[in-house]
Amino acid sequence: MEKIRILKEATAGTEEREDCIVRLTPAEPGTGIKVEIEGKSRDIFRDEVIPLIEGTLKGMGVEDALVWSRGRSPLNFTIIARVKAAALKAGELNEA
Amino acid sequence: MRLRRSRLYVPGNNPKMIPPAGLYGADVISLDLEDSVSPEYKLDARMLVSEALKVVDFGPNVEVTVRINPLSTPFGRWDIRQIVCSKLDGIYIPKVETCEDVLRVDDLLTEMEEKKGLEIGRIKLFATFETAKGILNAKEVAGCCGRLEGITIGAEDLTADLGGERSSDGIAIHTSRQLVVLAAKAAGIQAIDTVYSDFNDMDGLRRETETIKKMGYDGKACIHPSQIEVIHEVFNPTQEEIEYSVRVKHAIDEAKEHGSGVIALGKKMIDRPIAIRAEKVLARASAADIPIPTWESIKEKMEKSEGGI
Amino acid sequence: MNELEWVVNGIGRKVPKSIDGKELIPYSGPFSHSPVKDHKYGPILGYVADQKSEIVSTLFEAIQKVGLKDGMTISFHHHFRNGDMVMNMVIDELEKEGFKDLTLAPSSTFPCQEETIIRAIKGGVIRKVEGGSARGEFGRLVSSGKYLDSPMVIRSHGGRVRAIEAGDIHIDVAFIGAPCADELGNLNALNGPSACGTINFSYADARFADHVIAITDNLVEYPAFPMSISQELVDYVVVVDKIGDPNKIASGELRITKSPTRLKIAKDAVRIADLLGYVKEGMNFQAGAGGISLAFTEFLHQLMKEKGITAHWAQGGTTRFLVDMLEDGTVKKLITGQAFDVAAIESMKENPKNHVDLPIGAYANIHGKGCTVNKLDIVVLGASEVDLGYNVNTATLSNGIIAEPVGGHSDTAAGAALTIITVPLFRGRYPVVVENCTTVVTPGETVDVVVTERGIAVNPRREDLLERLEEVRVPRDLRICTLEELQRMAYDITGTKVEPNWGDDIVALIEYRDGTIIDVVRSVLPRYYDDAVFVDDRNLFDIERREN
Repeated sequence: MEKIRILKEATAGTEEREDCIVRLTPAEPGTGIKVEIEGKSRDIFRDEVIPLIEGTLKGMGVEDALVWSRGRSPLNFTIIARVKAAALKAGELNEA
Repeated sequence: MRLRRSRLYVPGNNPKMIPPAGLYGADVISLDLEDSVSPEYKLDARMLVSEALKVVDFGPNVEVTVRINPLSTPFGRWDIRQIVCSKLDGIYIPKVETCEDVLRVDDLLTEMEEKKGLEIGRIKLFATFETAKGILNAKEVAGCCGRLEGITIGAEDLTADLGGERSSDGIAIHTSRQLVVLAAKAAGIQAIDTVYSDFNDMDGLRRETETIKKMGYDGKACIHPSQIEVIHEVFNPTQEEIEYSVRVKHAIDEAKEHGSGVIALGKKMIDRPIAIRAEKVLARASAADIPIPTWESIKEKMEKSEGGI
Repeated sequence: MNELEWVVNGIGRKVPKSIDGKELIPYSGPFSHSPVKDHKYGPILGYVADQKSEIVSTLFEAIQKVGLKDGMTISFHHHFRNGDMVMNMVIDELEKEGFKDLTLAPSSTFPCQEETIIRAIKGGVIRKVEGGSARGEFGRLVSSGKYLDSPMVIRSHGGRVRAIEAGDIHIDVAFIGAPCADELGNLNALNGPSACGTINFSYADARFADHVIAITDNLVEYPAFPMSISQELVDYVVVVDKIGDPNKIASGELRITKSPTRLKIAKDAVRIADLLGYVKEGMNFQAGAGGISLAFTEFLHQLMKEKGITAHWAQGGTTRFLVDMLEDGTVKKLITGQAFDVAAIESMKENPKNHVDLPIGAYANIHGKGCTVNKLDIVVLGASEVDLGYNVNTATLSNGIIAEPVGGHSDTAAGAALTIITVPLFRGRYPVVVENCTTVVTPGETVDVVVTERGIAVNPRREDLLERLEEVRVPRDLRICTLEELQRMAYDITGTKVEPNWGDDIVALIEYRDGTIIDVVRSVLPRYYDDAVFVDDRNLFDIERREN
């Protein structure tokens, strides 16, 4: 599994219900993965969603990235899909 | 062969529509990465469908398929590599014109099945003809690949390619429809018809479905769940057809037992076409989970109503 | 509260041995606990002398005359649902007059009352809440553990009547919103601009409260018929302009859900009831008014007509769907606990021979001498969660916040021969079929079948049902599976259930219909990311849980 480096900003997903937008921005090596979730401040699921995003990116070999996300109650598979798609676009790799 | 009366298209980049896709009763669902997804969203859709396939349960009786992009596009190859998984039952290849178009997918599929440790050959293929060239090659394509279990037509693109016009009587694609069903049955595979796009017009849908059923089609695509019930009603054998077929089968079995060469049901001779038709009716009824009455119960019912067979 | 002693009850939940000096009895089974006291509690006597009228000109006068004092208990019915104006009117008045430390004992509460109740609690007017339910902002307030010193007691409909009759809830003053009243206090709910069909939830209140004040916007000439609550129980009658908003009391047009998921659940619930042999000539059933319930009623109607069978009687949550069945003869008799739409009210007026209402105690009280739930063949109920033991949660959401009523859930589940829980497998990111319920309201022993859109599970305790499924031909598209399989399917999609962020305080006791404690609810702490407290889950149940 090749490591992906985030080379440019990229976005995936839409504003629709049960979807989320994920935007990845390059970060200096050593930054790690920093996730910011925008949305209703009353979001009990941040505890789950942030590790999910981190885990998905780490699984793709991403070590440093800034992640911004906003969603309307997306299910986990949607979040994972949008993160992966953004990472593939941002890393300019199409490897599955 | 599988029951494929209805095939529901599900837009592949729409997270909301994917989890309930199996609940509407369609025999086949096609998660679409092609025409319902614009180019800038192809990657998003591919990943969404791929992730959904891992965790969403579509129901035990639903055939889960994906309509990929043609291999001639930058997307098709990556679609296949990404979506192959244990939950995938089939792939629909759009815009097929030659055997090559199918065999290249077949090869890539085998490669991915091997790579992912899946049973080789389990994932089936379906080819869609959307051009004049494709239709004319249907005969060859239909027999070219072991995985190929069905062929379909894409009326919109086909009509455009012909330079014709769409109309309610479907005259532009009439011959194409017949060629496809001929090609399918000659090769021993299924033929599935194109969508009826006006999903508010149930009467129109029913008429068109009845027409293609008479031609020999095994199923029809749909774009809206409300169309499924009508399509199934048309394709399901009626109670009368089922009862008649049971009687035919009984007459055949009886004749065999007594070593009689001539099979008769009442005053009518049962020849091969009737026998084949009866078998198909019973197979369809059984596949559709419609209860098949016993010959004894039919006999009883007839004796009660008219006093004798 | 940490010094409490705990004991594990009959379904494995830890409940305290006592609270605030009062001893509690742990739940030990659906039919294991008979009344502790052998006599009903008795209210004080009245004295009408030669009074010909009990009308007083203002609410304040009535309150004064009955001698309402700080610390007393007041009660209300919820028949006006989200169109109720009575509770707010009374609490506003009590606030104005400086009353304090009252106990509120409504049969249920609705969003239109939240603001008033919260203000009254924060202002010290109300310091305890008994029975009924808490939802929305009020539910959040209770779950926060602030402002209320003692836990709220949450009861089912039948359980509330039990508690009133046993004197566990001693109502000092019952306020009854009456759509139709006469000057001596005969009340009914069939006539008037705020007609709501029945005032069954006030039946026990009227009989056991020390004082009863009727509030009406429709004073009629004496005598008012029917005398649903009769004159010898009512102290005073107050006439006001409006007691409720008719549009929110009785719906003009209740519609069946359009959601394909819910339609499938309703359809499959009818099919499984039929397959298990419960849809037959002479049957009976209970209907509700939530989205799935209405669809269930409609599909059942269609099936019964197809099969050419009729039901002896049905009970509701009555809506036009049930009334239609009465009118075309599919159902012979109708019993209404509460009416949800105009059709239900009209039917009660036009067809009293075949359509009656019934006091809630006669419907559901286990410590009485007979209740209709015991005669039920089929009941269809919703849930916020169902766990692997078939236990059901309707009181809290998965995040621990009190959000929904119990209603008649545990009553009907215990009484009905076939109890079907109809739920989607998950709602948004919340799994509905879970390993362990956040809160248990209805014990698994009384639940028989769980129907979701992706599969149906039958409680292994019901060997007879499982045997029946072996004998009949199960259609291929009815997927019978185990509850474990459904739970795994749910977690696959939503992820593992997130446990609530529990605090230390006990904010509510879930009292089973027999007075025992089946579960407790703790306070919920804010998450550490921000100080806003709770999830906006207002839409979580949308049209499903409209009943109760």
